[in-house]
Amino acid sequence: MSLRPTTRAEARKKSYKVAVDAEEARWRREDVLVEMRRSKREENLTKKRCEAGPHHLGPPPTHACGMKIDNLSEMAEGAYSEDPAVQSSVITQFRRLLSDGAHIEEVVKAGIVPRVVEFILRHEAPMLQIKTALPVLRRLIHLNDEEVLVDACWAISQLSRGSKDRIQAVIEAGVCPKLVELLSHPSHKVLVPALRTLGNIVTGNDVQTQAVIDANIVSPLVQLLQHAEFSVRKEAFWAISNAIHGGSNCQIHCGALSVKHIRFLVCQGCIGPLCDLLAYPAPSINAVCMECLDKILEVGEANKHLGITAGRNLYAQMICDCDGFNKIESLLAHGNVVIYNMAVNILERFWVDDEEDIQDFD
Amino acid sequence: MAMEITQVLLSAQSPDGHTRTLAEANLKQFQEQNLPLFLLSLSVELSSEQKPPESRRLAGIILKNSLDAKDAVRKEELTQRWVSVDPSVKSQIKESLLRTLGSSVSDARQTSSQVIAKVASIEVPRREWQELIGLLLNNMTQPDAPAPLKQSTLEALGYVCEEVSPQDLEQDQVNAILTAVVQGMNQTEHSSEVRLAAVKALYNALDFAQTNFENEVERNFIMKVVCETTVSKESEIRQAAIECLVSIASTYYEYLEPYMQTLFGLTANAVRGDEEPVALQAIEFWSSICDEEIQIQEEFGEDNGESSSPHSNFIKQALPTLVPLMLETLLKQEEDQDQEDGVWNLSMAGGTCLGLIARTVGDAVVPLVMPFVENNITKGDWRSREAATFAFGSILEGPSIEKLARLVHSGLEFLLNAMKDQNSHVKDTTAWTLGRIFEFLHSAAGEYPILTATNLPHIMSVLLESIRDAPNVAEKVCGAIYFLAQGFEDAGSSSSMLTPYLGDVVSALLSTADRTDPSNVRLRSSAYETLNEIVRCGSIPETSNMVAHLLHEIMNRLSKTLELHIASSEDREKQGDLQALLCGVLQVILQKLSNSNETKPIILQSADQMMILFLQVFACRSSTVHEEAMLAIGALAYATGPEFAKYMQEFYKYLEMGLQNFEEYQVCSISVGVVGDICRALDDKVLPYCDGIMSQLLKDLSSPMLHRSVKPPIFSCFGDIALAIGEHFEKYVPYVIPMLQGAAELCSHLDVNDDDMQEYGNQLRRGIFEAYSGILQGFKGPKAALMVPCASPLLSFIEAVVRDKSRDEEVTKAAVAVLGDLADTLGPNTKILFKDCTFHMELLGECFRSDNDQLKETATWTQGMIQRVLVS
Repeated sequence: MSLRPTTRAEARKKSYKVAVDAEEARWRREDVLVEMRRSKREENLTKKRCEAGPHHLGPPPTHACGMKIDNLSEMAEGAYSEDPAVQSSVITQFRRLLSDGAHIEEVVKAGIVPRVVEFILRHEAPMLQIKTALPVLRRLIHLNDEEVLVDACWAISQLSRGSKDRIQAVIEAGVCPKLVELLSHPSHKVLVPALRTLGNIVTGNDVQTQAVIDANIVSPLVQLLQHAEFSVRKEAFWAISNAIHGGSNCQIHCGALSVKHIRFLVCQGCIGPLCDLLAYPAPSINAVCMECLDKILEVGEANKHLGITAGRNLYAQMICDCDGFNKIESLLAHGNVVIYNMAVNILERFWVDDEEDIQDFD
Repeated sequence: MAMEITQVLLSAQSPDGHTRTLAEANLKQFQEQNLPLFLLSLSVELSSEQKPPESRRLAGIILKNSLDAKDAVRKEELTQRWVSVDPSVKSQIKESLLRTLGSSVSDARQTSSQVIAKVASIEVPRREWQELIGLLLNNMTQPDAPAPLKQSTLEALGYVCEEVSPQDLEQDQVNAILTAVVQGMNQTEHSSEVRLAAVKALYNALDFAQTNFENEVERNFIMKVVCETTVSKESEIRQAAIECLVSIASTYYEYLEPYMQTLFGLTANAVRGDEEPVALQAIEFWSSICDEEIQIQEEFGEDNGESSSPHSNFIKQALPTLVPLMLETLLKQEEDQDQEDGVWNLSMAGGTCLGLIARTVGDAVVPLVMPFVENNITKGDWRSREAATFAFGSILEGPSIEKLARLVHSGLEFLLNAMKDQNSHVKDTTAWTLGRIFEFLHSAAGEYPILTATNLPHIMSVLLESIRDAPNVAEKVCGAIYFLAQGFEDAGSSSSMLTPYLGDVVSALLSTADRTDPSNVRLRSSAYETLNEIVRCGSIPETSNMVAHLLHEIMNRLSKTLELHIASSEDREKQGDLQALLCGVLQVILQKLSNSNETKPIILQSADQMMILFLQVFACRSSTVHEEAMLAIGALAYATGPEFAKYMQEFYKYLEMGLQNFEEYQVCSISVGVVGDICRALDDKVLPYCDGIMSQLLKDLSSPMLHRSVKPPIFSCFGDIALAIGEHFEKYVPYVIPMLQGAAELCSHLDVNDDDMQEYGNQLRRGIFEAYSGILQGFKGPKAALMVPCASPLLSFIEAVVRDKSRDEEVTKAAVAVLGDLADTLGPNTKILFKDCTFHMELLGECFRSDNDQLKETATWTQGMIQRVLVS
């Protein structure tokens, strides 16, 4: 409905020689408050989201033993105090002891590490504090106590989650070589959080991914992907898929480095285990698997155009050799439409020339 | 059978109060006892030629008020009551109404045409009373129809078009209405009363004429008739015809090309020679064309060269003749127009149009206006000087800074001196022009600095001097200071050129706010809002002392308002307005000082006193809370944090009063926001108040009267409360979850073609997601299992939202976050759900591809959470 003549005149009058628009100023003031609310709400939620869920940390130990420091057992009790102020001051003292390194054995024996780790996770979201938490954790992952290792690895995995800044802080703390070393640890309880951390790091930028590749992650990762028990395999799979997708978070900059990473992963034998997972009965895993193979095939295609592979997509050939082609083909019978579409897409893009009868798939 | 109510209707208009009250009570009783009979009796009264005109008129008015009300809820109620009246009674009433159109009493005819439109507004959209249009047209085509019947029939047609929407009428009905109306405009056949009614009806019918305007023959015919009517001998008819042209300009801009030459001639003649109301409409025609072209430019982005202009460039084409036309009007000022509200004359409308022209064509306007400015600005008579200044001020928005910067540099000194002109009107316009220069051209970080260390001292001394001038001039000076301060906001460095002057500026503004000249009501609020801008744009710590002093001064002033003598409701209102302005300043100060740890202690030192003041401000009113004081309390809560707990006991009753006030939905909405602020400040210390708050919020949500805009913030507020009190939220879950699920259901039924509803749907979705996020994160731990039953419905809702194309990025972010919260809090419980769904992968993929880092970060977190569930 067009405006009545009187309404139009009123609106013009209102905008005639306006000096200070008090109404707009008031509106803007309220808007600032609404914006502030929104960001505070977001901040509080983020803080809460960084707190570990209940299923991460082992149960708190029930007793402490063999102290060489006078008040260690008292301090240990304080760590479980109801009073948050007592708790906080005790934990701070423990952290100091752990950072010094001098009394590290005693502190571990006091069974207090899980509590310290839990505390770090609960209170240390902001970047600066991550940097102060990591030296403690770096010491802890060099210990031989399995329980401590588990807790410390989980803590690092939590801290490494989220932004590139956090990932950078973790890399700079120098924990990557030790984490890669831990990939040969016999216990899956250690393997899972170590893999989780490394998997988090490769969600970062190319340079960050390069840092873990330089720490020789790939070969043990491929090993785990082939031979470990399934909870570990899935974790390794997730880390590999992140490495392959490293470029997908920043498509514009997805340059030479991520292509290089993918070539390296293929050389180290990742195609075989990926093809195996195509047959795993979970659509979410199948889908991620196909995304990975798709990326690999794209690099294979690029290699072909570079003229270094005698006009063939060698990676496609390798996937066929690992029975991948047949497995993708059998996914066409999958009831899930997303899976079906992905399978069709891969087959059409990379094999349609060879397979005249691709039409039959539809 | 209708009842005789003549006497009661006459008594209801009696000069004797007692008689009147009694009669009104009688009518009310009758209405309540038997509505159909009451309505019928009124219509019989209205249509009876032998009854006195006074009782007939009132009967018509009561009838009209029984069908329509301003308040939407009341309106719906009246509609339902009419719908439920027996059809035979309704048809008798409608018959009486139509008969009355031919009455010899003009009051009765007019009222009847209005009532007919009200009935139509209820019935036509329901596809009832389909014969109405035919019956009305019949009145027009009868060869012997008397002029009064035609006039009131045209009025009825006009009102009907105003009341119903275009989709409610069939195209053949529209065609018939337009034909009847256009015939009614025919000069040779009809009296001036009939023709005026016809033009006014056409105005209302234009919105229905889309199809007719698409057809060249019909369009030509309509345009020809309207153009002819703009030169009728009766000025009222000319005015109404140009009003039609204004409406056509905004509704059918794209069809105007062939007529523009003619329209320019007609409107130019009207601007130059016609009576003022007609001339004003002719200027409005061009302003409306500007509005259209500006809007199209904004929608399609700035034009990429001459060839690809997104519109017809009517203004650009008319520029060489249009600009001089508007410049002429600038010289037609009235003596004291700036000191009075409500004046609207040729010079004001012309200047407004010139400003719009500048915004439409940019640089091209400058060479056409500058000679006028230069020739007139030094002339002896004030009209020339004022017109020249107004012309210059009007073209400061639109042209490029490059084009204007040189002109402003060379003219600034002149303008500053003109602030000493002997004519107040010239000073007013000069101060406004200075404000526009600062608003559009001054930016400390800009490429063409207007303010320099050399000219700033002169500028400041002139402004500080002129702020003491007449109220209308002082108000414009406030505006100049406002934009001056704003331009220094992005100075970047810690020091601003303006800082040395701030002490003087602040005290000048405080004195201005204290002025008692009665003639300018806006001056006080302008002074305080300018103060706010100074605080907001000042650099901390450089200005922190100044702001601290100001804080005490404002608190002092607020405390003085409590001592004002209140004798009338007008006094009360004035007190409330002043308190609003002062609380506004306190909000800005609170926000400014909370931003930095160095300045926060300044607030904390005064927090107790401030809170006492706010509580006293609340106590000044009995029924409603003071909105600005409420907002200030929200800002205070952030500054004090958990310390705010000590104020809660006192404050709670006002908070509750605010939450209860859903009739004034802004008050309710602000109070809901403050609940969130308090939750974040207090965390679990808010627990003792949660039962009261929650029951009030739930009550609000269940009320059909609650304005819909308050719902999304209430949902977000549930999340805030849940996050603050964690597992203590358990007892509210049985009430809150059904509300959330009901709202989620509602989201899928909103009309996606309506932009407002689409926007509302997005707000609602975000509110729902934020509620779930808060509850899920609050329950993380032993109570998590409580939310397991919600997981599957929530996941379906998220999926539905993800599939919806109308969601905005904020909704996407809230959706991906709540997905992570679900996985985070419920852990392995959700494994089975995530294992079999794939939409979250598409969603995550979409988030990773976006340019929004926050969104990517949230998605990364969510991906981690889901992964953890899948490998568990």
